[in-house]
Amino acid sequence: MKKTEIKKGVNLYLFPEKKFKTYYAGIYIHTPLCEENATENALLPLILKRGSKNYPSKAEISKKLDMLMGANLSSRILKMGESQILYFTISGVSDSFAPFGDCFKDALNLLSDIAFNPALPFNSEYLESEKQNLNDIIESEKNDKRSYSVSRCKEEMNKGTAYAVPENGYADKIGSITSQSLEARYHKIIENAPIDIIITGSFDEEKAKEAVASFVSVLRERDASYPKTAPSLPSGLKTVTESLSVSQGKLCIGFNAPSPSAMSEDYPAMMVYNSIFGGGAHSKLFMNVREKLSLAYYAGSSYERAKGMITVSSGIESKNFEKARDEIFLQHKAMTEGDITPTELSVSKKALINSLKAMGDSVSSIAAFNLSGIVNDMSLTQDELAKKIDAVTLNDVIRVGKAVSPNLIYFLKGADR
Amino acid sequence: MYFTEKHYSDMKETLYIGEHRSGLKVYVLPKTGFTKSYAILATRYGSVNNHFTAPGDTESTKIPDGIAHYLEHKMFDQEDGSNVFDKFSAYGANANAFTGFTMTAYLFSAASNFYENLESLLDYTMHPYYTDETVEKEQGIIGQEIRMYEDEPDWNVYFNALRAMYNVNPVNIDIAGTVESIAEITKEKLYKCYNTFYHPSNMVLFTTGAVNPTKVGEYVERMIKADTNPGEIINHFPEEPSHVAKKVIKDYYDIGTPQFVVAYKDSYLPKLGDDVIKTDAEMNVLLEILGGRSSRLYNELYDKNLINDSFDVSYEGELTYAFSAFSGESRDPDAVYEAICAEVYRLKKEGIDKETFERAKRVFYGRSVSLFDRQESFSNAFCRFATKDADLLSYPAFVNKITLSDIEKRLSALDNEKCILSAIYPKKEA
Repeated sequence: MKKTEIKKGVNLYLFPEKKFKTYYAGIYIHTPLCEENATENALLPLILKRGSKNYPSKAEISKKLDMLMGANLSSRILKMGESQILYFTISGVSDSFAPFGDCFKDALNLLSDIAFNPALPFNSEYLESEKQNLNDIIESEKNDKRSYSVSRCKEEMNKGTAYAVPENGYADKIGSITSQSLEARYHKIIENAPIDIIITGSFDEEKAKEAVASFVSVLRERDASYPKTAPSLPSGLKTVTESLSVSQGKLCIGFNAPSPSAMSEDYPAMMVYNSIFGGGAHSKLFMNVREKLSLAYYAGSSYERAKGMITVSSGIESKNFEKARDEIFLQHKAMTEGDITPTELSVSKKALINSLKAMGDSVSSIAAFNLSGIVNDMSLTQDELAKKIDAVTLNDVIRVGKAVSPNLIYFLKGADR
Repeated sequence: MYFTEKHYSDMKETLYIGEHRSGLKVYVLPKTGFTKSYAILATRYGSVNNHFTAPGDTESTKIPDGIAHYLEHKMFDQEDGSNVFDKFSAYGANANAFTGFTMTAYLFSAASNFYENLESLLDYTMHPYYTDETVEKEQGIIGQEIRMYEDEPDWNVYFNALRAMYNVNPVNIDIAGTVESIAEITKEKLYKCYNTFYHPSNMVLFTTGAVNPTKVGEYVERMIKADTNPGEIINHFPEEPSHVAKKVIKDYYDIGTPQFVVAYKDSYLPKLGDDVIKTDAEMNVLLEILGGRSSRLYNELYDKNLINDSFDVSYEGELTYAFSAFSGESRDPDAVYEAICAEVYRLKKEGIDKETFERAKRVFYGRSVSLFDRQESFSNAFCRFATKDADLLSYPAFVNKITLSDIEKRLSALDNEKCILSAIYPKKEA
């Protein structure tokens, strides 16, 4: 990775590529996910986006974005393992396609103003309105039943640990947040948390360095320790059932899985394991739960290395709960017993390699891949990781897969609408 | 196959355009430096084409709701019992398909073996294989897809808006049909639809990325066997009255914050060709002025806590229906509805100032350039326009040509009498 430490704890990563017509810049501030601070942390990006010192209202920020040819500004929270990352991104048309002057540098300056130059103390009217918005965001998490059921499964499986803390915090903790408490929280984070700045797409490298150097100059040096994620712990297999008024039941199964270092050879082997098990239309889950038994429209799995966890997710007729659950376990058993064909192995590797290589063609995917590299302590490029995946053997997959064991069955049961 | 080159100096792109003797339109957009290639084959056939007269037929055919989507699913079965996904998987490609109201598309993306994958795409889409058994098997899978959509508030609030606007246009029928209507689908009906709408003359092929027009042409020549154009398909659409079906539709779901779509049914329908782009660009600039992030409406509603960041505006212009939509989450959808109508009324009375217009134009120019960097969205949009004989690459240039009077004309056509509200609310506890 092209990393420059600008000052202790503040890093800049540049990935310039002339082939694009746009740039994408992100500021990522890493905080540990914990029950006590999660809600305030989640509120910060929302209030910061309401206005900064130089752009004191939402309307003024929007007007500036208009002048930057409709650039997009985002300011939200991202949960990765047990990190709660405050992130600020801006994307827009590169200067070479902008007939109206120097947009890129202005965009970086706007972005840094939002993140590092807030109008303090926080405006009380804005604060009340963003508290309401955060409440609505939390309430709306259940709107998408598919992602809701996956989060609930992960949460139940890791109950009582930091991982179970929701990304946006807790609705019942919003009320007690004050302008003072939030400002204190802001200072604490901005002065201590590790900060990464990632810029991708088509842009002038010198301009990027200049702009970043100037806004970083106001930041202090800090101890750059990133939050760590603790692997999930095995326990006896439990079933949690919940009822909502939905047409389709959602069945999720959480498995404990190995949590190797991202640089070890076991990591690509686990990626291949998950790809064979449920990582796409070529996988065992898709082929059997959907294609063979027609039980679901979607059935697949995802692997979270840092947490040592595989989560299976599918949408089924509620009455088919047992059938679908048994089939998922049957496919898991086949995985454990090494009942994997050479074709399954090779197509699964190819699917992973294809999606890794494709990332290089998207400005936001390049940023996402490298952010995940930073959080997971992995310094490989997409191509290097692809090579490691290509070298994975059937024996590797069987060896790492032995430790994959079911932990929790979560069933969101459909009641009559 | 012969290709003509079209240069776009503003976008620094060259598009290769060819037409196969079957009538298939082929577009190739090579991109230097890109690893991933993308191909999409689209047919002018979607859920609204439920009543038609096939070339050569004397009588018209009516088909069950949801058949276009069902057919898309069944294209993946092969005569030898294999599944097309397997072929794409073998080359590491990511294959998919989708069905809309007016278009069905088959696509793949691949970081290697592009031409082998292109061969698979042109092979399976030209070789349908339906049996009673395979048709039967899909009922369960699509039944679950329908159930999944039933639970998605975003889709339902949008779909209710269509039902509110349209009295008889089949865009008011769900793309996937219902569990009951798909039970009526037989292999004979599938073949009838396939033979009518999947002739290459009714389709377009778009490829982009690390692709070469000569080679794409060779594969098209080899894989597409049809050599005559069978003639025109006549689609029968009921006469849609200009008034809306219902002004308001409200529904209840297991959700947190209420959601809304406020939509203006448009009397003006874009005409095949450049008019599709021109209309789309003008309507989008108008919507940016009305409801964009720096608009008066957006900021007033946001300051009153009536909307949040999910607020969005969009225009959809098809040959048989067109509308403008404002959507998002709100604790009071009725108040948002009233505010939008009031703002349209105000703007009509007071007019649009030059500065606001120029700003909106600049924003939308930027957005149309940004789309070029999102390969999938760009390719899909390319086909949406190409199936209407319009060219997405000329979009930014069209935006540049828009005048204030173009926008004022569009504004004057927005009619509050044809503005509907679709809202969904959290279900009350029993």
